[in-house]
Amino acid sequence: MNDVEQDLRELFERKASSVGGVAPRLPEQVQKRGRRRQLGTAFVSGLTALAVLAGTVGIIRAVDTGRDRQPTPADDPWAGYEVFERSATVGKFTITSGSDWFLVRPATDGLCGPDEGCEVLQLTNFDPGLDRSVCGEALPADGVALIVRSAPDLPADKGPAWPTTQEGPNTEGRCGEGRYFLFQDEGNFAPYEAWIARGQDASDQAVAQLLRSFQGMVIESSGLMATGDAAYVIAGGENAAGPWRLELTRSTSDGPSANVELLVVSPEGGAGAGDFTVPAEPIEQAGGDPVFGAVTKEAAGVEIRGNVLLPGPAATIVPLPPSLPFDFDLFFASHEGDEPPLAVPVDTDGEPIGNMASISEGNDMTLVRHPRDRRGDHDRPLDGHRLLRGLLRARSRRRMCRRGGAAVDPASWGTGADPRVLAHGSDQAERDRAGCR
Amino acid sequence: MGVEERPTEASESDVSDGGLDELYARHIGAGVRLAFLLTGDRPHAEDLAQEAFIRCVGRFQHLRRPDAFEAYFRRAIVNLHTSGLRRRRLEREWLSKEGAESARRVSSQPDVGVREDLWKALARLPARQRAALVLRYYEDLSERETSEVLGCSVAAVKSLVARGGGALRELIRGEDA
Repeated sequence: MNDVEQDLRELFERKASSVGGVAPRLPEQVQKRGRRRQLGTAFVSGLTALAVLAGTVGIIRAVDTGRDRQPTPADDPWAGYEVFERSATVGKFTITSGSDWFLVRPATDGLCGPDEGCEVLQLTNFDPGLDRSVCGEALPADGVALIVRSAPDLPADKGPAWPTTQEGPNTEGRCGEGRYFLFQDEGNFAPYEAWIARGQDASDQAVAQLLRSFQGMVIESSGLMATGDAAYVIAGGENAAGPWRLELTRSTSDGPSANVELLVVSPEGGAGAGDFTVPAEPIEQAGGDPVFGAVTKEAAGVEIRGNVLLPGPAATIVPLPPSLPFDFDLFFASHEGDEPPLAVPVDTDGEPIGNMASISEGNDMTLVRHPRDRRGDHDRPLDGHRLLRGLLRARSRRRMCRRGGAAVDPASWGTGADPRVLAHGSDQAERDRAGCR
Repeated sequence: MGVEERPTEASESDVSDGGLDELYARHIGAGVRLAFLLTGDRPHAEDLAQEAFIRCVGRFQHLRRPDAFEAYFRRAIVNLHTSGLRRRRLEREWLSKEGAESARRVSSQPDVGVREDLWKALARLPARQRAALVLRYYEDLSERETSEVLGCSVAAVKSLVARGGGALRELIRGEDA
């Protein structure tokens, strides 16, 4: 290669020399194009920088937004549930907050001592349990709490009439350090005291939320009695009789199936159900308006239906608080129709879950009326399952073919016995026989 | 680069206001010579060098090392030459077919008349082999520097130079025979 290399070096030197002089003056065209290119590059760079800046700002905002939201720790009972605005009347107070806050109606026998008064309600962003008040207790680091109590020990003229915009100075009081508010149920000469406290790491947002709930309280002219053992208030509403609230307590029975009790408190009194057999059964319901009960966690939703197979309005599902760790959820819904409501647990496709016979039997609501009974016997209560047997058969077969489930004899629905399996979708021979494609 | 005039290093201020003229004057001569050795054609070499200059100037403010304008300029010339040939496949085929004619045109350029056969043979080499030889034996770049300009590995440079040299030898022998 040395020979060629040497020749190439000489050749390149000579050829390069032969090029001669190149005009050193920058041609106008080159200058213009060079400037244009510089501007273009600067423009594109500017756009890129702007895009990067916008992206960065977006990311920072997204992160900040994420920070602003309440953290959802692994043990947050509301993770995966839809939080709703809960407005419930406890005693004479109607208070509104997110359903993921814990509203407790403290234990009381309805008689307030002349010295200490009675706690009327307690609202916290953590599960305080039902065993004792948080008054005087150390709060969790990120916890905030509100307690409202009647205060017969205070002079009737102590504090302004409710609603009030008082500041509530931070001070030491009967529940410990916190902000104390004194106010009056004007006209009834009934003084009340509210205590708001925060844990050392509680966010300002949580405190602000609590203050909004507190300052938004309404004193009703006639409230709902608040007596008995302490209970969580999981929902509230109004029906034809007036306001109602749904209370949840630990069951007082001793049996092996003891779990919780649900009680609707209304001006007409209380009605409840307890010691639910869910999840052995997919759902158990009680009440009318509201309808409420317990439902398996496997359900994607609960629908209030006139017939097991026909869609209806969705009920609200509520998780049990951590202090009542049972394997089911609660549900409730308003129901204004004349016919008794039928609460049906459904999967994500809106298909009923579990044995439909137990759904209906368990609630004693098997009979539904259908206006288009082909025999015209409108006065005769019809079995909704029998009426839609043809539809059921087709759906059962479709479910078997598509999902590998079992095709069930529709005649076995509604009999109370276990449904009779006709064919298993996991068995290819049976799939072939059923005509699955 | 090249022979007698080695341009001094440019600075960022070179391209502010009247600096563009100065930058052009400093580098265009060497650029045209390099382009001529790559293309064998004087007008094409000038076009190539000017286009490379425009591209480098357009990005000058954004070069990682503004003082290394010469290296960027050299690389732009080589890349424009090789990629331009890649893009213009028809033109390359025409050049290949008309190799002898091209060589004749090149030979019409003023030179001292020696090693004309080597120059003709060089014109028939693939663009990257020719570029590797020019960079190694005219620009006196090391194999590593050549690989950076060509955007390939050092081994590939060795291969290009070896195959280019071998091809030249074969071509010259063929013409002698």
